[in-house]
Amino acid sequence: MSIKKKEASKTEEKPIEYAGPFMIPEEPIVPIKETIVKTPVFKTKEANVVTVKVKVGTLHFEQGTFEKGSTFTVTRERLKLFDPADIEVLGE
Amino acid sequence: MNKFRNVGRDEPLTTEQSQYILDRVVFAARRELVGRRLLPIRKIDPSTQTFGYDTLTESSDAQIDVAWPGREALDNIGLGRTSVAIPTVHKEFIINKLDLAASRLSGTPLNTVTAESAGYKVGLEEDKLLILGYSRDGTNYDINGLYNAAANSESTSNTWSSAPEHATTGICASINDAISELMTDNIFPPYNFTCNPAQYNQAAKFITSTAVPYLTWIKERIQGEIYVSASITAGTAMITKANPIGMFEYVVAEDFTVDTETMSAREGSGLFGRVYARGLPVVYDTNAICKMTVLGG
Repeated sequence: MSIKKKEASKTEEKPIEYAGPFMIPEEPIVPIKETIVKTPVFKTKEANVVTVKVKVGTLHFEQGTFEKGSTFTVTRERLKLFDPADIEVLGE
Repeated sequence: MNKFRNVGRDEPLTTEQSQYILDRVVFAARRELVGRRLLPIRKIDPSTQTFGYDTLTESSDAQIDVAWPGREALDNIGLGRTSVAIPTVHKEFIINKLDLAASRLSGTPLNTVTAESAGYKVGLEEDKLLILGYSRDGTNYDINGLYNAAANSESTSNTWSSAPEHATTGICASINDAISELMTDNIFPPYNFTCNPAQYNQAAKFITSTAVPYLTWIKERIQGEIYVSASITAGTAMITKANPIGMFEYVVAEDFTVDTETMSAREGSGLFGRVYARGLPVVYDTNAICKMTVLGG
């Protein structure tokens, strides 16, 4: 019973107080409603082509013959087929 | 040099028994020795632990002059010196005490199955050393065998299995491509072709609309021999100069040797043996080898 009483007292309206001769009504505090607009972030697709440097003396494959030190570009799928000792991946 | 040594406290074997074990070991190893057929052997002092060799860059082209040449700028020849430790390929075995006693007392042939098995495994490992090389970590090769030393790489995605007749990726096309790479470096036939059993079987088919198997065509094309070895990885092969004097060789410090010792009573009183060979594949001219890395697709 005592709890109910306390709750009841909270809901009681406070009497309006006047600061002076003019009545300034208190503005009710309204929480600011924030609107967040989510912009979609597109993940950049991993480039499918890589640049490769020839480490072996002469490397021949579908694109032609490449000497040691020369560079060419291949797809990542094709890259897997090379002997790792023959090439050095330089980057995208 | 005696290839059979008793290093123990006393002489446990007769000379005939020693010779018999050595014969059996070498015979077992020969089953797998493909690597030794690819390169000549140079015997060096058995006490050698490291082998050093020089490699030089080729000088520029020679000239023809009608007038007597005057002062010429000499080429600056780059000298590269390499020193490599000679590895030991080894496997140990034990001949049971009773087998040894039976042979010694009643003349029963010595049971050498364990020694033969050790010899076979040493031969197999030596093949890997010659063809691929030796790698401590399994990735980087400390000693390059023929395949890993190759300066030419034919890496076209070939279709030996699915379309062996294909004009650019078939069996004939890939062999031709590899040979043209060797010829560009002035390495001319005869060549040897070494491949994995899988590729050998793929080439054992008839060329379309003919009664000629690819193997026959390959043999005529390379003018050398076709060798099959499980030591070379499936899907790969290599073409090497067939008469590679001065291009690559197998430097042997100690050929197949068997060390034996009588074991103590606590260890079983058997005959302990170690089969080993100490040698190093050396490639002076890496242009004389072309590896083929993507076969069988």
